Amino acid sequence: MYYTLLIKKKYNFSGGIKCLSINTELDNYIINYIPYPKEFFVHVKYNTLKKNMLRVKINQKVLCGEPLTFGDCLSVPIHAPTSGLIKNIEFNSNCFGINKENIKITIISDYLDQWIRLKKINNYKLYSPQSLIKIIYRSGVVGLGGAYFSSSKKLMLSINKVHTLVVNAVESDPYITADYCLMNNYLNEIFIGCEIISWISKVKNIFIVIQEDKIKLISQIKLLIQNKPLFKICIFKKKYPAGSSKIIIQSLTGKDIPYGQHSIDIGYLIFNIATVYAIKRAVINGEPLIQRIVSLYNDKNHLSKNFLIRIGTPINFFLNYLKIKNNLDYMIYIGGVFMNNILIDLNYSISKDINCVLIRKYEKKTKKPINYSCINCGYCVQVCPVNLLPQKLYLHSKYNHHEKAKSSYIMDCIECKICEKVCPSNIPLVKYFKREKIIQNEIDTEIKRKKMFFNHFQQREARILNQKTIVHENKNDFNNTNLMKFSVLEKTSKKEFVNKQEIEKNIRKEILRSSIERAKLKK
Amino acid sequence: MIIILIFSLVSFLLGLILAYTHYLFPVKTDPIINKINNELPQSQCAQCGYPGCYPYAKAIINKNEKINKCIPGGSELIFKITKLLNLDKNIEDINIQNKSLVYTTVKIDEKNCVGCSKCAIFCPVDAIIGAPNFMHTVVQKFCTGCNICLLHCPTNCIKIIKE
Repeated sequence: MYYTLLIKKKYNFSGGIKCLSINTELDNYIINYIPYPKEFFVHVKYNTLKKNMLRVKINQKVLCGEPLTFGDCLSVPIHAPTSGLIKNIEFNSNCFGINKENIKITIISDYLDQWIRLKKINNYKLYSPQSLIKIIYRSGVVGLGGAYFSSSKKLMLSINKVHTLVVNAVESDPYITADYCLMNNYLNEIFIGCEIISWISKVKNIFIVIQEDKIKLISQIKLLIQNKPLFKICIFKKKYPAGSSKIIIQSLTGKDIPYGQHSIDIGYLIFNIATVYAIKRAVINGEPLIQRIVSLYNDKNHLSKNFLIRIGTPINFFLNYLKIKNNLDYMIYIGGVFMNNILIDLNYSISKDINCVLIRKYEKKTKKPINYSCINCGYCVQVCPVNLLPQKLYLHSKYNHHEKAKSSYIMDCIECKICEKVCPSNIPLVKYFKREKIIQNEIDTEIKRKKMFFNHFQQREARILNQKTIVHENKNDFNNTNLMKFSVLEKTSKKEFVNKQEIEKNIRKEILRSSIERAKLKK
Repeated sequence: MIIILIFSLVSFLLGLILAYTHYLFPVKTDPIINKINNELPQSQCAQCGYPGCYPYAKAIINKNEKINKCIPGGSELIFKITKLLNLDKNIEDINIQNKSLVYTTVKIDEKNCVGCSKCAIFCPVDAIIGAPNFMHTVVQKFCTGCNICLLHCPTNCIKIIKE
């Protein structure tokens, strides 16, 4: 087994950190289940359409898998996670992120879990790619790696543009095991999902990207691959950050994706393994996406488990079930060990883009770590996986040199926080980068607005000029025709005109005469 | 052959003459005016008293116009222009009225619109659509928030929405 592994080339990228592997137990690869809570909170992020998006009303009964919203071109429809009664619909409940507005739908479950009728497809090759994409759109599949990008749109863009499909089984964070767990349990279904995607977008070869430490899985996949010439397995070195699509494509092909472009433009279609599984479920079983695997990572006890959770389960309930009741002693984050956001509201529910819940014991910080000034040591440069210069970016962003920061490619930063961990003088580099990115985006939108306004103004001016010339020409035409007609109709028109005037004069004279006569009679 | 030669010679000579005249009477474009014009918000709202953004930028340089006349630009724009023109002393003299730059858009109350089409004539970016004697609407994407149409509506059916 090891012998075959050694022959294969291991793909690598510059920078990154080798992580200590935790002792993996069998528990990591078994899916655990939790019971259904009484209340589900479904969060819908919306952009432009507001109340028109909703398909349901308060006090309406819903079945499991019934769509709650209409999707539009940007967002996919969201489905009810269980059967029950809709209790409440709230607008603008901003608990996660300030700028994002969302709708919160509360569903009380009746514990019956009645499904809607599912439309199963046995032979997907009878359907055209467009209709399959429509099915995927209707079942609400989004990128489950954390991108939340509608995968039906991704497939739409990829038709006739892509030559390889890359199945991303590399964890973005070192200690999350959700994807491996999924691979371990549903490997066959994932292969069917790959075939469906290859049928839709007509790819020529499929790469399965996996990290080197999962030896058992690799041998399993190799056995399955043997008779299929489409598939190929690529083994990555175990390093942090490897999950990003940019890094995977760079280390596979040596090509960089420029900022603002997607991997589709180069010819590679990347899907997370959970998304592939969801697509298989959507097409063949007809199921909408209402559940996903979330891994729970506890720092102290090394309690790392994977749970199959319905989307919309409140995190409070999830923690209570695991007997982590005293929430004041714990800090709860969403995301892995490196990339995480602190969770403020425990009533926030599990949504489609959460793949890990991190629990840490709360420690009172006696001393704040002192931030020294940058000493140009260059550790961050060695470590950066996308070949940026973090120390330079830091200086530019600190002193508000926006143009210089842009010219040194700050928008390519993937916020992996490695430079921050390595930095000897404890500078919160990623905080600066995040702020700078927001400012850059604002400048960008400003410039776009200005251009748009100016273009419209110019168009209007051109239009007005055009109208003036048209009117001028029309006037000339009118005069010409008049001149033409004048010679022909001269006499007749004049005669009529004279006649009319004479008749009017006569009438007036008669009126005057009669009135004078009446005046005389009165006297 | 001879004809081609003659024509090429003539065109060459004409080109020389054109280049020489351009050298003698150059088109005067001030780079500072273009820079200020790039800083201005380009909403063409004419609230500064000039017909557009470029004439205002011209007036700042040529006619010593005040910098604080651009209303949608706000105080940020004043600082930018002072930086461009090195007007450090005058920062204190400028009275800053509108501190934050907030983009607004305008909405027509479509039930009360009588279709006089007065607002559509004055819109500088053609954001208002509608035929005369019919209902008019604002295309929210194109609206710059200059609020010129507010003054010209006879029935007061245009309202400001804040973004």
